[in-house]
Amino acid sequence: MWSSFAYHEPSTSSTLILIAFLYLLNLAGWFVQVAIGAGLLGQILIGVIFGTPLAGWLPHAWEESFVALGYVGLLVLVYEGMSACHRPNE
Amino acid sequence: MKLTAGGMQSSIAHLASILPLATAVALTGILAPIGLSFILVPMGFAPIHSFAAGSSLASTSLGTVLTVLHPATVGFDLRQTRLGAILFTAAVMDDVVAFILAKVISVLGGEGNLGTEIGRTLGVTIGIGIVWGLVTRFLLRPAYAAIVARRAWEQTPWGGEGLLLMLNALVFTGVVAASGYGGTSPLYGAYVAGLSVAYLSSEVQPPTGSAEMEMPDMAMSCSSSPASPGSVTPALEPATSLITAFDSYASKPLAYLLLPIFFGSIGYSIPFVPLFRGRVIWRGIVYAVLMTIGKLMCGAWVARRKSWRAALFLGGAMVARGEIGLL
Repeated sequence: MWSSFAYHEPSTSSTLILIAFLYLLNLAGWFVQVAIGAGLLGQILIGVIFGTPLAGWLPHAWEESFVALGYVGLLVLVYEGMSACHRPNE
Repeated sequence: MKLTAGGMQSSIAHLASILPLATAVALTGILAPIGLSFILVPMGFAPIHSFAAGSSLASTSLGTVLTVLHPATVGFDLRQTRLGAILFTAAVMDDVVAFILAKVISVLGGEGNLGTEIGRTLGVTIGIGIVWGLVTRFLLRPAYAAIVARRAWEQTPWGGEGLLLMLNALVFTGVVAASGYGGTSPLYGAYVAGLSVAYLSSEVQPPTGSAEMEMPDMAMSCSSSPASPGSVTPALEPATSLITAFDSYASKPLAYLLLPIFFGSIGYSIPFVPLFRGRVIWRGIVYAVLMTIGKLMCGAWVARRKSWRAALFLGGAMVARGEIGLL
């Protein structure tokens, strides 16, 4: 029959962790960008801190989801990169 | 950023002109790390490990390259420059090769047949490039021209930018799906899709105004800097194209949600703690030095034709890719 997915709200701590993760990713990205010009390193660092290796605040299911979302982001980035500006400029 | 006023080179011609150099850069980026990895063999690594390690380093960190090249990062649009285009194309080529190498490794690990795997990947890669090129030229271009010609569509609720965004999504999803299921890297699919959209946008101009007026509009949609000096009257709206539609819908979610998540996910995929044992550390340093040399050799291709600064930049950017790959 129908499989069902019971909707359970995440706990407050989970929600706060997620909000913090998403915002700090951007904040660290901006900060490191201004500091050394490679904002993505800041975002990698946040991932290192939040994730399994260090603090372990992200449940494994989330980490899998983020990997999938991130991969889509990479694909879209490549697509945008190729489509947006391929105007020869010599 | 200057644009030639009258004629515009097609993006395909541009691609063809940078392809040889990009190929050379890409090949160096792959072979040098692998070759240099074999230096480690006398130090006690099995050859197969050298090969695997070298190929994983050669694998591109496309995300790094693109983020570094993005206008928001550097302040002007590096992608417009020849150097940026070479780096980009070389990165995608490296990615396809890395994809193949990963398959080779799995085959050497005992599954599948080397010839068929490599043959299939190469065949699908080239095949998708050719087939999609033809589809774009003979199917999509007339269709897109027809859509663009009917300005009235832009006024309807379902027309306009939303429609163009859907076209973007269809092209993107279709080619990525074809690549993934066909047996090559989906990233290559995204590359081909983007290329065809660039071609469509540059070859098909909206019918209003002269060609000269359209170009500054395109410049506005591409770079983040203000419009280039030109004769655009402020009263005219910027030309709507596939690219502007995509930008207006997707660039913010991409930059502020998807990409941070992507780099975050790379972060926690690093096996962090084992990295801090002494043995791993010195091996890591030796390896990093070797790989830096290998990547810098890529810069040598550019040195002959351009300044030393350009060569260093290219080599350095390839090193950055490699470091991410190391992680």
